[in-house]
Amino acid sequence: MFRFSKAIKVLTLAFAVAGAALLAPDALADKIVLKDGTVLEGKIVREGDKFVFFRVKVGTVESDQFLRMEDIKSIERDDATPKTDEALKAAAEAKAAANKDEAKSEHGHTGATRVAILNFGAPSEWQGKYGDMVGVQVSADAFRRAIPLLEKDKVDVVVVRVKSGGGYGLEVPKFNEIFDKEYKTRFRLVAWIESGISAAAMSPWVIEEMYFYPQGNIGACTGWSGNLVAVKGIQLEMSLHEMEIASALGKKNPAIMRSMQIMEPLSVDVDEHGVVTWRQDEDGQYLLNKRGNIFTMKADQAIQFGFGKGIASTKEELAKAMGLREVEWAGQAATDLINKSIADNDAVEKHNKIVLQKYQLAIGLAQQLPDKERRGIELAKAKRLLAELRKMVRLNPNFEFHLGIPAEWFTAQDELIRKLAALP
Amino acid sequence: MKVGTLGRTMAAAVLGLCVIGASGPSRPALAQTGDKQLDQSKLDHSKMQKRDLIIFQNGNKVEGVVLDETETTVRVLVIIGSLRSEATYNKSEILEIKRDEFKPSEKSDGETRAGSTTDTGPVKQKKDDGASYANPVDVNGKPIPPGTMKVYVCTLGGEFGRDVSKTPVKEMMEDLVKAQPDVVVFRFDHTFGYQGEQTVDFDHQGSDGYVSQLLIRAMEIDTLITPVLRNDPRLVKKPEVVAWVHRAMGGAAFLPLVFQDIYFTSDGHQGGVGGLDFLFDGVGDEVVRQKQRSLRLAWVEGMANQGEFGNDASSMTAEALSNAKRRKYAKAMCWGDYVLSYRLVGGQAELKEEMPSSPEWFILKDDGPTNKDHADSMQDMVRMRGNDYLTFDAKTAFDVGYSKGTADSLEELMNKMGHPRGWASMRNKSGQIFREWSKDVSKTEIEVGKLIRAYQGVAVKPPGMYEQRTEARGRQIRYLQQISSIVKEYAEALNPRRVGAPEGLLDQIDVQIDRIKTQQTLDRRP
Repeated sequence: MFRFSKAIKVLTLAFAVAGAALLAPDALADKIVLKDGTVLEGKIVREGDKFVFFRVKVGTVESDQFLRMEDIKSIERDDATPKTDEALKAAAEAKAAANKDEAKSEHGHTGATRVAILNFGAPSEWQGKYGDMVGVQVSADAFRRAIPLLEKDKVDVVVVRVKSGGGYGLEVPKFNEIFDKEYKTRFRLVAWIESGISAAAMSPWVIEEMYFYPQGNIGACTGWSGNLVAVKGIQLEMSLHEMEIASALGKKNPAIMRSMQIMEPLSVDVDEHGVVTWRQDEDGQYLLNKRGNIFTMKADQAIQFGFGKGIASTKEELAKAMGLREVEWAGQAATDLINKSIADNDAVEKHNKIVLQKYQLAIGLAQQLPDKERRGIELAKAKRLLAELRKMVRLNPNFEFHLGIPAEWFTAQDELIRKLAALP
Repeated sequence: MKVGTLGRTMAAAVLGLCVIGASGPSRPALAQTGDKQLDQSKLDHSKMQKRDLIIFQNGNKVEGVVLDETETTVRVLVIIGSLRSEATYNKSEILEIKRDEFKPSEKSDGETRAGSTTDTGPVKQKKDDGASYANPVDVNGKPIPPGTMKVYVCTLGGEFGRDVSKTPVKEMMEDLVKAQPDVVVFRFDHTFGYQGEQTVDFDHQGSDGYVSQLLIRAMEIDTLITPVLRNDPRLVKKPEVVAWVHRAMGGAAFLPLVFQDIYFTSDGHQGGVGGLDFLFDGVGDEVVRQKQRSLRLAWVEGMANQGEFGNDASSMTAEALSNAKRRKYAKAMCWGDYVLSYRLVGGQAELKEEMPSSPEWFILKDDGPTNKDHADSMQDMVRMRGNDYLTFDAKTAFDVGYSKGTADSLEELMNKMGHPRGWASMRNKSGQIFREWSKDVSKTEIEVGKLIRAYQGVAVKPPGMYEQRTEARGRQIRYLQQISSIVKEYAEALNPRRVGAPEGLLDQIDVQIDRIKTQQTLDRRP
């Protein structure tokens, strides 16, 4: 029971942003009564047959709670419109269309199409100089901060160039939200896939228009941790569901992503008119993924079955594939911001590892020293390093997972330092 | 054996830090600025040549340039091959400084030996500054007349990932751009090995090292080659580019995939990969293992796609892609239960992903690795007749259209490429670049080994008091700093079994230096 509750708590944290992605913050006026008598007041932000995401506000802090229908006695709604995925999607699309028109009329320029390229991970031409982990080097926050710069430079088209081997699932809903709500409403948004593996495939999945490098690939989205241990149970189910929503937003058949996440088969039928039908079995005309395998789509498959719009190995080829006749490469400030963010986060990540090692060294030494004075020197050093780690985790919470130092670890270290300091 | 020993040596060295006991406070041991300090702003260390020899009390020697001195220390620019690193030594450790021991080398100042695969012997030429290609000469030193097709041949040899890695490839591509060739021939002539371990040609090395690490290296190296050849505006004319495969086995098998035009020597082989679908067997959950395998296969197939279509993205139509062959060959090199057969129709290979169903079909790869009834026999394996995984020989590669032809000499290759005459193999620096890199890597590995041993040998001199302990720690830190600096420079190629894993080693050194400093802080003057 404890483990389940804990799992739910983690899920609530992990997927809160995804829920938030689907609704603008409205007044909190729905009421839910649980079977144990608890009354919750807030706002339903998303719901399905078996669950509700319920946003509650305590003081100035909002948080989304995941509630199972079987635990709910009654729901009083302020707004009669159900917050099902279908309804949310329709509302989001209507809003996006309105925003797009508004943005176009504001730009008001009629010359060449202004195209910006933003790196989602270090492209291979950077020669592995920086890491490319989603949630570490690749940050949703940087993409959010780039928006005003893109707008200022009157960018029409944003190309998200993807080259990453994956990263933290916690960052995926943030990217889904930003791309779907912030970018698609302002720009023509396209993805240009060099390699999008795991979280790097899931994050831009909401982007409808995808182009590929000749060597491009996207997929292999199985969640895992530690020594190749798979995400299982309700966490897996939540992840599958999240990607069903992302598939809908990205106008993709959900069977594709599902076979990238779990070992489900995938095949395709193509009729005489070239209409493609995706199938979650092995019986289609073209078998793309056998049962028992995980699917990673290659550029050739993407083009052959209409998943990708075109192939391009240079930005000029990309512009041509996108049907742009006259292009002006723009948004350099935004490109620089994203690139700098990758470089800075990379430096922090490398530094963090060393700080953690030094902390472990200092605290280990302090535990061995019988002399109070000498122990005090090491403890002072350990405290300073611990504070530095705390600061870094505050700046990027993903480091908790990346370095294996969750909040409980910090608490335990504080306690250890206190105990060692109190020794005679 | 030696290789592993050095790896353990490093671990022992790190542990050995505790030898010098922690007792008593300290003072800084290093970083003293001398009164004879040179004006650093006027010095470019990268261009300095070794001049002085420092001989230590323990017999060690260091070559380089004495930058400045104080009464107690000497600051030296240590020069090892092309590597330069500053270090400060206590004069008490030094037996003798031999100044101007080395004269400026003629080789590095003036003439060097040319290097191309078709070198006919030691030939002198001016060190290239970009001007030597204004009047290009052939490999025999004869001027190439205007209008003659210039052929730039570079051999990628030795161990892939070590002797051929990012730095020398980048240098070679710079040289190639300066040369402005009409034709570029990449000859693949690698040993079949990884991190110093050689294997036999009929083997398939599906380990994480061979498949994952070298695949990543191949992709990284490709980003230095393909974009330059396709898009570098400095190349006035886009050259015709071919891969000429003699031996591309194991991790070295991936890079030729990105070349559109491939030729083989008559004894050429490409393959020896295998086992991708068995990676991480026994580790973690099956679904995660499948994920790891899937993404790696996608990388390999991506390289194959790039080779088959990359020169013209617009050619990647749905129809062309549905007939794509190379990614199937690539998968057959890697994936155990994959089956691939072919037949010839009008001189073209037709592929199907199943066993032959009639006599006109030939098997390229069966499911031997997962079906013991189809597993290769020892007799077939050693005779390179196995088909558990696809390893191309010249004949099969040509039959199925993977190779455009078979040639055992450059003349034959050019003839097959449709250039029977009117060409000359130009003298270029690629051979020299790779030779020097390999030499530097080997030298560096030895040097790091020496430094590790020296570091391990640091002992507190009698009478073992605070001053002697401080001095010993200072020496330990200096050795670690030198190791760190050198390893960083050559991390892409060093054999971690000989010098310790570069990335981890660097982190470890930094922490260990910190630890020594801590011990010094805790030490006490009696």
